[in-house]
Order: sequence, then structure tokens, then C-alpha cells
Amino acid sequence: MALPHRIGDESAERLLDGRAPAGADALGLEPTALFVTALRAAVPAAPPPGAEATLIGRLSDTALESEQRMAVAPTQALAIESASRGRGWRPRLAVVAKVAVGVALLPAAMAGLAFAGVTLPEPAREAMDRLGLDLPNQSVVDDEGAVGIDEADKADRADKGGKAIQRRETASRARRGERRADPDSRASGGREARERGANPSADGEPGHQSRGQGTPQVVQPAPITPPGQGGTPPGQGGTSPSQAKPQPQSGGPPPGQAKQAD
Amino acid sequence: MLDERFPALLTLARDGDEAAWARIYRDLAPAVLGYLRANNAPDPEDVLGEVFLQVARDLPGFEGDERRFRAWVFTIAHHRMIDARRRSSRRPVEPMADPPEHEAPPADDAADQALARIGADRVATVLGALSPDQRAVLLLRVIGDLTVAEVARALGKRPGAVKALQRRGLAAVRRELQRRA
Repeated sequence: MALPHRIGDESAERLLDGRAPAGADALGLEPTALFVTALRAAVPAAPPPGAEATLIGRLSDTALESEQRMAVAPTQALAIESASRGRGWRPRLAVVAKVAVGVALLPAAMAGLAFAGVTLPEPAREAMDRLGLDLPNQSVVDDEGAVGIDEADKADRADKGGKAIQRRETASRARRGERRADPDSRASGGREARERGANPSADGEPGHQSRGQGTPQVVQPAPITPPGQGGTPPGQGGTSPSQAKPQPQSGGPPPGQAKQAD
Repeated sequence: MLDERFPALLTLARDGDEAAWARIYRDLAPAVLGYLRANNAPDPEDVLGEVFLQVARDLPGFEGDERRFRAWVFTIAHHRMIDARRRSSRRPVEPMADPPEHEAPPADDAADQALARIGADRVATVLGALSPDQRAVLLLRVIGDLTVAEVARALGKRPGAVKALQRRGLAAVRRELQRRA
């Protein structure tokens, strides 16, 4: 015979309580309810008579030992906790020590840089002054006069440096001019070149303007345009690379005409 | 059932009072032993002793009322039964004598009448027709008097799975009873 319905949760709960659910006859659940009730009487079994007498004594001893162990355990747990708390301070102390060492090494590092000739920034110098440390190789900035002397000294150095650069450039141009001179004009050109070499302040380089009378001028390099970012595209004007090169035979006035251009 | 006296009984048991332990043992041991036997646990009397020894060991950490204590004891019983099965599967099986017959503790009249109508043998046969999980769920619910949630904790399953197992178990009981009718 086919059973009409599956058992739902509600019906199952009633059956497990030993009560037949509503409509139990139709569902065929009355025998099941009876079985569950009989199960309560059938399954429990009395333990062997001798077992209880021996087991009860062991149970009471075991319980007492466990209770005493648990009473000791909180003290041990407290000790472990305090030990772990102590361990937790050590890493923090190490971090503080590292920071302190770093701070102490900072003035030493500053002094090392100053000794090496590095001009330290103003806040760093002020901080070192507050600490009462004099740093070597630092410019004097205590009064305005000192600043004036310092700047005048710098200008003087720049002027001297500019003249030296100018002398070196003139000498090298003179040597190049000698090499470029053709055989016909080599005699006069060579003489002039030798004169220029003897007089470094004279300027006879083709295409060069006069640089004034002893005033140093710094030659600014032409700005370099990166490829593809400006400038005249190839084939649309400008000077071809071959034309850009100075022609050794006909380009520019001969060295002998340089002074006339001036 | 002890109800209001249970906390005092538990305190006495923690302090090693033998009378308290005797009371707890007599209250729970028959149901636990019946559970172990109905689930075909190997050496159920030995497992019963292990269960109560673990209860005594872990009692200082237990908190709860009588109902929770009962569920806790059955959970321990289920775990010790699984351990006993593992142990018995590792060692060679020796032929055992029939378990000694013990007088069952008195049940209520309705249960006795029901058992008289169905018969103890038939109950055992029907239980044997269930799957181990269905049998464990039905026994914990009926004999242990555990809720669905407590059974789920004891078996390590989800409550939904326990509900499904009890539905299928009862359906299997119904089928088996009809087949034998």
C-alpha cells in the first residue's frame, strides 16, 4: 500500500513527543507514534549491578582532582599573562631605543656632512647652533657685512673664471683657424692666428661677434629639443645637415676678415 | 529529573560527594547505556564507564541547567561510542557472549503499554532497519530528550540536516511497521 504523504517537520515533532499528529490514521502514522512511545520503555537498560559501586568512588575522586586542578589553574594563567605582558614591552622598548639612537646620530651626520664641505640648509644650521655646535666649512651669515664680502668674493671668482674660460676658447679657436686656412692665405692667416694666439683678448673667429672688453660672458648652450617634440620637420625648411656644417673652403669670411666685420 | 535541586547536586558532585554521583549515575546511566546498546556500540558497559569518567573530569568547566547537563552527557556518550568503534575496528574481533540481561528501569505506563503491544524484539528490528545517522538522531531525540539544536551539536551536523534525518527516520519506521504488519 502506498503511503499518502511524506512526513513534515511538524508531524515529526509530534511523533517524537509520542503523540499522533492530526489525521494520523490517513497518514498511517498511529503505529509510528506507538513505536516512539514503546522506544522510551524498550531502550533504557539498567547497568550491571557491580559496576555502580566501583565506578562511583572513581567518579568522586576524579571530580575532586579536577576541581582542585582548576583552582590552581587561574593562578598559573595569571602568571602566564603577566609574563606575556612583560614580553610585550620588549619590542616596544627596542623601538624606542632605535629612535633614540637615530636622533643622537643626526647631529653627528650633520657634522660629517659639514666637514666634507657640504653647505647645510639654514634650518639645520640653526638647529646645530641651538645645540651649541659649530659646524666647519659653513659660510658666515651672522652679519650683513659678512654677506657682502662673501658675495663680492663670489663675483670676483666668477669674473676670474670667465676670463680664464675666454682665454681657453680663444686659444683653441686660433688653433682651428690655422688648420682651416688654405695654402694661399696660410701665410697671412697664420700670422694673424699667431697674433691672436699672442693676444688672447682679440677675437677674430668667423661668425663670432665681439665679446666686449674683458667682460666675461657665459655662452649659453642652445636649447635641445627632444626628437618629435617640436622644431621644423625634415623636408619643410630649415637647413639640411650637410648645409649646416661649416664649409671649409667657402663658409664664412676668411680669418683675415674677421676684424673687418667687427 | 531534579530541577531545582540540580545546582546543589552539581556543586556536591564537583566537591567529590559520592551520594551526588550516585544520584547522577542512576538518573542518566540507563538511558546512556540504552543509547549505546541500541547503536550497537562495542562493549557498551565499558563505554558507559568512560563516559561518566569524562563527565567527572570535565565537570569543573561545565555551566548550565539540568537539561544542558543531560545533552552534554549524551554528546560525550556519542563521541566515546565513535572512539570505541574506531578502537574495535583496529583490533581483531573476538566472539562475544550474549550481553547479560538486565532488568529495564521502570518506564511510564503508556510506554509500557506501547511496548507490550509492539514487543521489544520488534522495536529492536525496526531500529536495525534505520541508517546509523537516522537511528542516532531518533534515539537522541527520544531517549536523550535533546532538541534539534542539541542533537546537531552532538553529531556535528547542521540543524537542517538533523531535521531531514528525523523525517526520513520516522518515514522508514512507518514503512517498516507497515511491512511487518
